[in-house]
Amino acid sequence: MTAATGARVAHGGIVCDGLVKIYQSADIEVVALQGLDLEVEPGELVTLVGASGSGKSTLLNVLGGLDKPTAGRAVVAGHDLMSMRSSDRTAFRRRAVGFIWQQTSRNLLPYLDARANVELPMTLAGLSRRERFRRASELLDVVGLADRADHRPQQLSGGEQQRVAIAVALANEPAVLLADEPTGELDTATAEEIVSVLRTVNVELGVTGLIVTHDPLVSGHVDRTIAIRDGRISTETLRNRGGADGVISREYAVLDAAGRMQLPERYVNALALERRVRLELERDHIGVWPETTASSDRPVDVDPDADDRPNGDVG
Amino acid sequence: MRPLGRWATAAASMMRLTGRADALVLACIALLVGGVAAGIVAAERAVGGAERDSLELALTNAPAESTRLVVEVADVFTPSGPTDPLVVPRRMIETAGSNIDPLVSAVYADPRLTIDAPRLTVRTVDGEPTASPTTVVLRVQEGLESHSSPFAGAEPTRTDPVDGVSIVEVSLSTGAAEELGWRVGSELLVTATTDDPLFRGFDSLPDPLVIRVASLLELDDPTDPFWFGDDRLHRVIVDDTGVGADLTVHAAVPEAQLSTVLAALGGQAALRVEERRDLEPARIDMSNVEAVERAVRTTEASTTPTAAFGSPAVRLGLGGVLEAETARRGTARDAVRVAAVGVIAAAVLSFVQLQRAAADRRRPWWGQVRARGAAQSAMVAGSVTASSAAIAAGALFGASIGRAAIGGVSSSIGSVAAFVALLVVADLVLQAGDARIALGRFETAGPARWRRAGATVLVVVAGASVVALRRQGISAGAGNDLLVVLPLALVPVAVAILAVAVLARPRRGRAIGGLDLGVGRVVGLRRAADMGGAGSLVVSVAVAACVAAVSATIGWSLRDAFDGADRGPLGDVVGGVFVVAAVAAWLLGVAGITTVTVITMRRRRRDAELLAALGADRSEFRRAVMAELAPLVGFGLIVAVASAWITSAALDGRLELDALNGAAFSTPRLAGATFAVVGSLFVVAVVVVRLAAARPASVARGRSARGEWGER
Repeated sequence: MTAATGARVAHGGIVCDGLVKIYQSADIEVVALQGLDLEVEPGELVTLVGASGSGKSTLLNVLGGLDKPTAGRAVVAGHDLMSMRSSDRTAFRRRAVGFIWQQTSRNLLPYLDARANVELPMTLAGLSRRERFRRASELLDVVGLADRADHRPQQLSGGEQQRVAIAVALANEPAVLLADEPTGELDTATAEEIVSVLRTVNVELGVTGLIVTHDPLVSGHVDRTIAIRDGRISTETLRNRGGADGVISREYAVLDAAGRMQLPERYVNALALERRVRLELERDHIGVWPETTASSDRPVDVDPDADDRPNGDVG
Repeated sequence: MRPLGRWATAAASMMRLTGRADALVLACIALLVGGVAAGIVAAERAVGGAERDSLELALTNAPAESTRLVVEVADVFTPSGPTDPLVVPRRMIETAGSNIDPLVSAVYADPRLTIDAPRLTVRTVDGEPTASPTTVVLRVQEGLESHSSPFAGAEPTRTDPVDGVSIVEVSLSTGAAEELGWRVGSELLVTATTDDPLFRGFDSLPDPLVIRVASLLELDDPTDPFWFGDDRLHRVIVDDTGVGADLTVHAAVPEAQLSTVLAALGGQAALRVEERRDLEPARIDMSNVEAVERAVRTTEASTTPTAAFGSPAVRLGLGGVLEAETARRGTARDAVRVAAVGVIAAAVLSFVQLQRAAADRRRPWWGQVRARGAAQSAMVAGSVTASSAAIAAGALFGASIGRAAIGGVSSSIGSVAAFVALLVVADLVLQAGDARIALGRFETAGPARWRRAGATVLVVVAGASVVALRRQGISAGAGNDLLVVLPLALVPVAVAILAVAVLARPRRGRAIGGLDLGVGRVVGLRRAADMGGAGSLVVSVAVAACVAAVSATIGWSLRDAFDGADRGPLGDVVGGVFVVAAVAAWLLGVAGITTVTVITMRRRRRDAELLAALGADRSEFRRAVMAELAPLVGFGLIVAVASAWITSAALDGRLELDALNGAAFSTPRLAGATFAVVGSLFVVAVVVVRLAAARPASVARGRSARGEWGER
């Protein structure tokens, strides 16, 4: 990590370097993260996509201090998660990160009203009653629920519960907000509301956001979407919102520190790539061919509608 | 597929789903029902066996005069009648016997006759006046020859009159002869005794006659049932008059010589004839004892115990014995019912707890099934069927165990069936309610109003049951109604309802107000303040504590009271049943609370995960556990002690167990309350252990967790 990167991370950035997480269930070892590299800038809002079992939630649990990495390096808001003790991790969860789960009922204590739920993390952090009240009011206002402060979770809709959950996650002014499919249980309109709130807190409060999602709607609202496959970062999609043509998005394959990259699965399938491929270095790109194909063969039409093909020839 | 077919398919699917999703709950239900069913069957069979033994013991040990049947006839029998002088007495006895219920006759052995002639005054013995006033009664005793052996002389024979004086030959027992100094050949000049009522109906007395001692007999043991407790042939009856002694001796006359006696009495042949029958205890058992008792009472009502001329008497002491035994049985049954009602109440409350806990697990997948088109009725039917199957399996297994454990004669199918029906109905109601809640058709105001109305009715009925018990008591043959045996079940519930009403609101308010108490404490307090779950948990534990406290003190006190007394089989069993009920109630309480704690662990796990994600440390979770436990414990203790006190006070002096051969009994109130406290503390200890084992590390991540709570 360079000095510049270190400074960025200390202010809410996320850096993972060869991150490995292995679960042991009975006699079986499951390698959930296989040397994952990731870098998120402070104040950035990023979505994380991938198939079930690809390691998204595991990554989020590691970054949230709920799981301990097995190997590699993970630094979140200046905290090296690998070297932290249990008490450090507790303090990290309390102050540095906020967490939102998919299940609305899992984010809030049903015994407490919305305000008390928001105040609860501040109580853990030792804030005074007055300060708690003030900040809880502010946060509920930010998420648009100032008038529902005295309602208990079961008296709130799913969307309102998620908005309270965002307020809870932001209670101690964390540098990083982690959300595990926060719109998974919501209808489209409500999901729009939640995404909007997440964008608002990201922009207005400068909180770094990492959102695990399957929902294209959520991905479409952020500038960077990271795809994870088999415990590694596979591709990144960048969206440019400044152009006259609206949003222009482009998918990139990610090159890790060892020079490895994953080809998108649909490309591999389309060309029936197996085991060995032939690479040819051209002046401004690298060509990839099936082992038996001559370099002069015509490229295959992969997906005429796709505008998010990686930046480079795949022929 | 027809609608009904679709419904049945949906219900069957729900049943299978319930079997898989609620396997733990169903297993707990089966275990609970099995345990109680085993207890019911075992207790009923034990009591049934004790009743049988007690009846047998009572009939065997009853004084002879209480178990005999005597038909007595006193009348004049003239020589002009039939050749056999016993024809008329037998006919009269037969007539008198027609008033005896055949059920009564059937439990007695074959009859035998004893015929006494009027008393005759001995004037001289071998010509010498007697030293003391002496009278002789001539007795014909049927079957005497088989219960005596000749000692001296020859069997009495018919003797012709000498000088116009009739002579009657008799046999004397060796004991009587020795006491009087008479021997074979002694001749007694006797005259009629004017004060004998048998002679009072005659215008003139018979002439003097001579009684000759023809033989001496060795008689069998006078305690042999043959003698009917009548040893007057064995010895001389001495009546101390204060200025001397009057002697009466019974002399045996062979039945064949009865006509000689009648002739000797010169036609003035008034006789007292008794038909004696012994009870055959084996002929009365639990199957016919009540019918026999009724028959005895009918017979007593249609006969008279005192004979007069022309009016036969029937003396029957069996009624008193059977009545005492019925009272003993009734008291035992009622006392056992009190214990059983308490245990069943604890079981039903544990069952309700289980179902409430199961509802938490059920709601999510019920919602899914509903979303896929299952009808609410099919969901309830399928789930109830699965629960009913568990209940039936538990009942069957438990009943078999209970049957195998105690070899008795009583049938307990009815009791178990009633218990199972109660649970199935409760299950139906609970699951229908769960379905409404799970499917979002729940209006807060509705159930709350119904709960209030139900609670009010329950408190009123509990009060009525205490009043009924105080007024009627549980006493011999009182025909107690259901209200009398209900206090043990209803009082704790009523006390808990009132305590909830008084304590819940301020406690809830305190819990809401106090984030300053700390996160863990607030979460714990809020969980404890959730009266839907925690409140009913307290009620079930309080019922268990109260039942156990009262039952244990009654059981132990009974044993103390019976120490050194002839307590009998029923007393033993009743004392034992109360002690067993106490243990069973505790087990139900402890099993109920631990089971519910385990089943509701999902909520704690969710709380633990959330608190961990928010940065709470392990101490917060400990505080949450303690804060949840403390009010429950305090509340449970208050309810348990108050209930034990009130129930003991209600039972005090109203449990009249002296009918069980024990001393008068009263319930020690303080002991009950103390027992409740000690027992509740035990429950608390169990819960603490349970909750302490449920640390987030193991709860949230399973046992393979890496040891840090909330982390892996």
